[in-house]
Amino acid sequence: MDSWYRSSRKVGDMSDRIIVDSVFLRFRSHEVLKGVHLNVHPNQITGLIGRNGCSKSSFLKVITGQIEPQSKLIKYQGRKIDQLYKERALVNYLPQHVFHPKSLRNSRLLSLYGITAESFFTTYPFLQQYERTKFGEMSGGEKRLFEVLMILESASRFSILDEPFTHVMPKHVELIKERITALKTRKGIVLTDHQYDNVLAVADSLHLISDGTIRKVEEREDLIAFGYLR
Amino acid sequence: MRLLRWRLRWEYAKDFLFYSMLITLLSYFIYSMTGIGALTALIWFKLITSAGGIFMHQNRKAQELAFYMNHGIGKKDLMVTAVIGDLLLWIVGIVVLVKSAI
Repeated sequence: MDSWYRSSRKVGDMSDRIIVDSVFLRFRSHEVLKGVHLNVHPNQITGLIGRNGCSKSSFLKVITGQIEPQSKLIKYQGRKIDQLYKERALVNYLPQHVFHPKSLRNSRLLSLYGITAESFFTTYPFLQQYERTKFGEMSGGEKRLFEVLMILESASRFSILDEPFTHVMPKHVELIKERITALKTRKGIVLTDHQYDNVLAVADSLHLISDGTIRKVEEREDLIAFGYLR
Repeated sequence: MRLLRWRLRWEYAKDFLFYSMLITLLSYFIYSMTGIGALTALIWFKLITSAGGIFMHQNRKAQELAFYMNHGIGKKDLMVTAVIGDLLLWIVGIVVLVKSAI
């Protein structure tokens, strides 16, 4: 790893952040999250890393309401919120698998996310040929790229991305990184991926999930000390 | 926004409703052949096939759940809408058949 991530102290408007606190999650007798907390700031990219099976995805699912944990506290603008997904245009979520209905046309999907086809295809002209195509008719890589870009370009205040660089070719990984960096001017982004050098390249703050807890990472040595790198 | 949500609920439920419509039509056919005596058995038939159908549908659509949640519609909402739509259709049809037989 040649370049360390550029940790940023600028956190934008503090009242506009999402506070996630006291997340306890247990699957049967196995406690996977033990009081995890995270502040998600607007206009900032929050990176989450951790070993396979450390419950990064479960944590993101708890935030977005897909998993109901034993305990959680989520606040936004000082207000306690039970389910973030019910808040209009606040958060959208990219899971690690392809997730859009195959029968919907891409132009319809774009309009559902509040994106005009004209602006989308002006930014991504190489995707123009798929405007009228049904989502299910694209290849696996094209589907993944299309949904990553849709989630990023959507009008939500925050985007939560679970493995956006996976199943995408290197040229498009670079494009996604560019867009993540550009779009943070209008939204907060939470990002996790096993390609951790790509996470480091764009993250303003970095957190490591390990042993059911979360730790802020300040420098490369922290990752070695926490057992993530050798 | 409300109309959009209903369209998305339809998008989620349409495959299940097609399957359940076949069951409903079969129920109507059995009722028209056997009369009111088969009603209790038909109710159980409908409930069991609907429960099985919604379980399979939910598994088949599990990967798409995040899409609907991104538009403010949760799993419970989707399931309840699909089941209520299915059962309402079945009940209305049976009531019409029973009334027309009287």
